Amino acid sequence: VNLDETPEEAGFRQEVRRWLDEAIPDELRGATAFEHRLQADRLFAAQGYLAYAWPKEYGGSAGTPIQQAILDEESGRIGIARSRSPSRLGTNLLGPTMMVHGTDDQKRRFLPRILQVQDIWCQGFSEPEAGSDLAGVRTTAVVDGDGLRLSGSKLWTSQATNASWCFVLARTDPDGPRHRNLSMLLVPMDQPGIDARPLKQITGDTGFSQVFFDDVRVPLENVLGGVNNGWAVAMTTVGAERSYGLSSRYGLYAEQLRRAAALIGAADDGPIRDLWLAELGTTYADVTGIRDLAYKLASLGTAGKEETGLTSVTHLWWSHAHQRIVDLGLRVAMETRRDEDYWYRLWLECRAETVYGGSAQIQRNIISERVLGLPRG
Amino acid sequence: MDFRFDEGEQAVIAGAAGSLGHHLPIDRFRSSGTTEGAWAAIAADGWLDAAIPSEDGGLELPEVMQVAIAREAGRQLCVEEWATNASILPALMAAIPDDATRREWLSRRRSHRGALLQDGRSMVIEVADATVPAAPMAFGMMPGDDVYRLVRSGDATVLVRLEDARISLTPTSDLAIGVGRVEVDGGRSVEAPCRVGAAELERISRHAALIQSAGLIGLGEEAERRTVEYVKARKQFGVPIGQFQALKHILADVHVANEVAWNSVLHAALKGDQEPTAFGASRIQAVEAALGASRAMLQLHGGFGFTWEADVHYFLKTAACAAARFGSLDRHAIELGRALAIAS
Repeated sequence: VNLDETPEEAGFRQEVRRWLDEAIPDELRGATAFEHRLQADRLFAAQGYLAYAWPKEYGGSAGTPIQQAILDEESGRIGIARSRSPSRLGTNLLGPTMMVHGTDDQKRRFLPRILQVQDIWCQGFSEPEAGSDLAGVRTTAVVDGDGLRLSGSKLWTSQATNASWCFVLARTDPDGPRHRNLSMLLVPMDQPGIDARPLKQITGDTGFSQVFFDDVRVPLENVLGGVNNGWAVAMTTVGAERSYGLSSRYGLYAEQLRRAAALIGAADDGPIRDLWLAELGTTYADVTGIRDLAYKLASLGTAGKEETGLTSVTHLWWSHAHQRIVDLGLRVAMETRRDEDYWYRLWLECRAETVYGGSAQIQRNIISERVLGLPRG
Repeated sequence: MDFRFDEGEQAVIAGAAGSLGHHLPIDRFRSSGTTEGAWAAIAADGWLDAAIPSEDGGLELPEVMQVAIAREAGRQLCVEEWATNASILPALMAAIPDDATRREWLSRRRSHRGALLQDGRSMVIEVADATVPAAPMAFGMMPGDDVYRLVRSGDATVLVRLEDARISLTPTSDLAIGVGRVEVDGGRSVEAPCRVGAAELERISRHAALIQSAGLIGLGEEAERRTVEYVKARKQFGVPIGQFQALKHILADVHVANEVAWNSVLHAALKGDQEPTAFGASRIQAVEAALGASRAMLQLHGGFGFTWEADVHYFLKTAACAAARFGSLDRHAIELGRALAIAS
């Protein structure tokens, strides 16, 4: 066990840091607007950093999970959240899924366009009646000749209005057994019958949409992993999902904590400040927990070992740790009358983090059943 | 970078787990007999000497292996005495300049468990101005132990060892887990010069606190393991209570806290020299995790957990008292916060 970077890892960190310093303009650092995040993706793509861990045969650099963690951490440090990259759904969800389940033709058609930021993907899994219970999707696709007809609606679809493609989990066999009745469809967004209606979020932003499909035609060659095999395909996607960009979260949240620390440092002495100092100490301990989990996941990944349940532990930890940081930041900002807008917006935004990607309660179920071996209810 | 134990390291840890589990079963709290023989057996296996340089007959293992062994001791609820005997005493004895004397002291420690007679709640081990025969709260002390003191003698510091003294601990029979107010009486006194300055004492205290934190991880993980077994076996409404989500989620949180805390202790052991904030962070996580795990253990054992007969109270008491040693959580949190506020 060691946390010392090998000469190669240290060299990679230097290389990444130097590149970030030179290549990323100030207006992209800490930016949240889609266009800015997309521009950052293009810069990463041009440098070969967008999907650094992808195998070389698919145009990646076969970077190790540790190198990926270094890249994420350094990016987070300068305010580039890789966890919010518009390409993430392509690079980290669809791409790895397609490498497992895709045909050679699909890989040739889609993977290079993800790498070059030519296609932006969105994910059509959740529905009004299928949130945590993914197997309950009702959107249907009926085989008709050499294609399928897709109808239904998807909910909480991030960046649906910006995406050119959507990977859609749809029911293709109304009478088939659970887990053998779904298919994963690759659907171009720019065609008749698709209507993405942005939903206004509590922050006032429109980050996600409800997407309606009305008799949309999808060719059979756009089914990923075969008709009625969608559950297995979706499980590959979900398995790839949870730890993505973890180190960038650490870098980003550590920076946010420093921002709170600066407010506290400038505040008047007194009992309230002492209270904040103590909480600053405990939240710092929490944020370093994210870093350590990222190291552990990266080490397991690099060694090719399973990480049973650790991604659920990780999701629970980073989401709650971040909320604790922002809780503190908002209280300090309100009391000191400084930086209120920043912290209030962040406080609202981070509410979503214990909901998306599997709610905190679902993560606890996974930990208690898969890791602790407690009986299913 | 590889944040996992390799096969060789795992073999060492498994060896420690086997030895400590065999010689220090938690049942020992119930029998009034001494664990002196057990202590010598553990020492004979070398586990008490992980921190000691090879030239003095120790294993000279890196700090990260020392915490891994302390975690195994913690699973047996051997937390305070481990921090004293595997960390504090070897470190103080390392400062005895004469080779023969130092080795003699280290050697006696292998057959006679020792405890430090001073208030263990301060963050840094203190040097007393005079030999007071009592301490308001000592940690890991049992009748029969050698009693150690660190005393100022002119400009120098001496380590004093009291052998065969009568030790009375309050509370004793009610709550005894080796923590409490201590008075000593009689015994034979031996002393040796001990060259430790303020900076060295701070370093020794931090190391001991890290070792104790590792013990608390073991305590928390054992509490988790036992509670999981209990809720799988205990039935209500015709089903194992571990099937109920309200209980599952409590245990999931315990698991998460233990995982994070252990990583934090490992990080501090590996990187503490370069990152001054790592120690405070590990202290906070370890203490919180152990307290959380032992509280959950009692809660999920229901009424049984509140009986003397169940082992639950040993976990709870060990964790609660440990939280007060080497400075309270509040003190660590505020010091860490202050360092961060100044740095930003």
